[in-house]
Amino acid sequence: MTAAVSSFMSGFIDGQGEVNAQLELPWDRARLAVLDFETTGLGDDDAIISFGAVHIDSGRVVGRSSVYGLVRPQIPPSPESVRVHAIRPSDLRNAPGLPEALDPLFVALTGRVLVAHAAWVETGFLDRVLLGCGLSVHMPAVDTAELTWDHFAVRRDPHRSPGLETVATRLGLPIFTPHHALGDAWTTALIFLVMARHRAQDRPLPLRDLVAASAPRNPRRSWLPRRRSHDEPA
Amino acid sequence: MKEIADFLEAYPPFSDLDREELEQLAVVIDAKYHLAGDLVVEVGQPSLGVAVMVRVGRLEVIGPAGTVVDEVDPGDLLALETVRAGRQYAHAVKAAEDTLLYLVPLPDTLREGNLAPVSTSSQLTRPERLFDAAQGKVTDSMRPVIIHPANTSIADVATAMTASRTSCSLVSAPDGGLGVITDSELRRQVATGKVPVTAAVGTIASFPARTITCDALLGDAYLAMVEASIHHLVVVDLQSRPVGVVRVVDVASAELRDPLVVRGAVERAQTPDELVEASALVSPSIIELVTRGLPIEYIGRLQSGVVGAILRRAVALVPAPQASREATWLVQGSLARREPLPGSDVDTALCWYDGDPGDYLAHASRVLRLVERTGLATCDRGANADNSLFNRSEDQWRQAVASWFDNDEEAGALALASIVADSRPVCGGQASPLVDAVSEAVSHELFMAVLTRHTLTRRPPLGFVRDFVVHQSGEHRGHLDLKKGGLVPVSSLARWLALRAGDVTGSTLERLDRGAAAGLITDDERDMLAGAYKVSLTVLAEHQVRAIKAGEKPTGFLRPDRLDPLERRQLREAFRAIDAVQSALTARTSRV
Repeated sequence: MTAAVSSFMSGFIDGQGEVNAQLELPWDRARLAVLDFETTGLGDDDAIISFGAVHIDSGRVVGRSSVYGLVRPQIPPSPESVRVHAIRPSDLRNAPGLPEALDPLFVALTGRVLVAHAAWVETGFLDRVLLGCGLSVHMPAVDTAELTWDHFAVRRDPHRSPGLETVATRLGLPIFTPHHALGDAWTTALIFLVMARHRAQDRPLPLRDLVAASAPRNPRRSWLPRRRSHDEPA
Repeated sequence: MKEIADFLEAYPPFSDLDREELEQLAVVIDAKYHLAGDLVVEVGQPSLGVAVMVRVGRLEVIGPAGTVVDEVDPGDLLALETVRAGRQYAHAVKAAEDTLLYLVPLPDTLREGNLAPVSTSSQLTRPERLFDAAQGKVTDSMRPVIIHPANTSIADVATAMTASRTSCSLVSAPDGGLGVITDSELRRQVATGKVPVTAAVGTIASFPARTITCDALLGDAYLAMVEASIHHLVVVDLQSRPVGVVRVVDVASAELRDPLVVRGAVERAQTPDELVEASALVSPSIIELVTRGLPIEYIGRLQSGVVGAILRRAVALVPAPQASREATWLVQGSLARREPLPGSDVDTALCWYDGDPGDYLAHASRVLRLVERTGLATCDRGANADNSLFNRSEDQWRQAVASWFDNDEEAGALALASIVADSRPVCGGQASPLVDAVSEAVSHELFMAVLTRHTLTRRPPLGFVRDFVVHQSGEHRGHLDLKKGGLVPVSSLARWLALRAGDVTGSTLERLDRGAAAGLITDDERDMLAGAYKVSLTVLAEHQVRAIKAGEKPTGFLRPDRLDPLERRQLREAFRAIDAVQSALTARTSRV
């Protein structure tokens, strides 16, 4: 376990840590971290190949806080996935491996509530990384894909997740470089600002409410990380 | 952050940065989102320290009276100078729509020093121009002071203010103190019956008058007025002697004078006072556009749009007589053709459908008095909706049209032609007697013959070709009547063409096009007349703007010796062209 992971974990101590404290604050006073992963795919053997994150403090996306990095996976990305994220195996050859590669990310996430679009992917991969370190934690997260149904007052479709670019376009927002982890994190951050602000209207909206609106209706949680450390041989 | 770098690159001042600088900037910007109606910046709030750029949506800058004085659209920056100078925001700012903002830390290269990308007016973002204008000296925009002793009667002060077309006077107290009385305060006090008009003005003036020294900048004066929520400041010399008065409308920037912003404020006015206040920037906005050299036909359209909005709002704010159908308000003359000059009167007519004639006259009178309060002049020759000649029921209009058609008097034919052809409804739907008359006109041979004769005999002044003919006596001695000499011959000719073509919509220039398209004049003649008309309009508009700025009444008269050589040559050629086309048309029509 690296120092960054250890610091990240301290945010969750006994439900009393910094992360839990954020949940009680109004959304526009809380400390959030918007995260996106690019991965080799969504299967059991797939891995993170890049991450992008940006903070939201006091209802404001903080550009300076942006972090981005590549992660060398044990299995190189398939040609199909390269077509999506445009990260070639050669780009990853000199990138650090897990868990060190994610140190800047864990620093960025420390003490913050996670925001992601289809957050089950990000939390699932994070869970898997932590399990590899022998750790387990419940990470509360705001899921902008789940909030989309409420925002547009449409019946939730359990079989599909509203696409990031589709949602941004419908909200009239700019789209940052798609399938680039930091670009998608920014697009997600702006979607979050819009949805949270509209949901709050003129009352203080505790972050906990946004997490609650995101989490319980997420049946795709059945996708669980494999209980295997990445240090173990496959 | 390619998206951000690309967006910044498209707008000044960032468009002047190279790609590397843009990409460095793109990773340090913040983003914030506001719902429509959210307060984004409070008055007096310290500078945010970053440039605020609208990415999506729109912001509204709110003036001291709560009216919208500026709009900030995507790509525009909010009060960049405030950020550069580290000042407080002078205005509140609200989100007019759901709005996404980028908060951009200003790189050193844009903070000071080489400001080339934002110093050329074509590239200025709007709030930037506000402070560009603010760099002028306060003495450049001040008006002369009029000082009355405190024991002067209110009535006398009001009369003097009206005569000198000023909106405030200074009042000197026996102890040497200086007070100020504004037109609006005077009206308010007297109207509420708190004080009689015979009372001494000293009893209602504000003491002491707020002052600013003559070496101050306009921006300082503007901020002082915004902060104190006052509309006038007394400019004093270094010995504290009053030397002039600046009004908020004189120092407010070009941006406050954007006709669209003014029009928006007019349309939102909920009371007569709000309408008067919102309209205060109409004249400055038109002056600004003429000064900036915008094509005159474009300015005319903007001006007629704003004036139409004021009239519509005034009608809406004055209770109308009970009737089954809303009366039709028409504007007439140059306003109907959407080509008014900066000093043009507002000519109106009313067509009503049922009810009491007296009620409509009284209603029109109240509406026009409100229009006058907004600073617009009604017609001094009586072409106003509160004159019974221009205030008729639908049946009465129909009868009037019929009698004019049957009459071979030139005056009647001309009245009919201008009422029928140069009128445009601004509210209450079409006035059908006038619309029907357009299609009928061409079949009334007598009428058309009188009109033709009149149109082709109204020539530019005789002897013009050799030199300018000027009035030899009276009020306008030594002046050239450019309206009568250059504008009226072309606009009459275009109206005659329009009636012959059976379509009177549009401006003089559009009517000339229509006449050419119908084969009534040649393309060459159309070009000559259009060129002459534009030259006359432009020279006269600039002349009127100079008069308005000097506090004089704008007229159609100008002094030929004050024209510059180019204007003189252009006008001479314009008048020649009109004369030539009229001669050619006279020859053609007499052969027919």
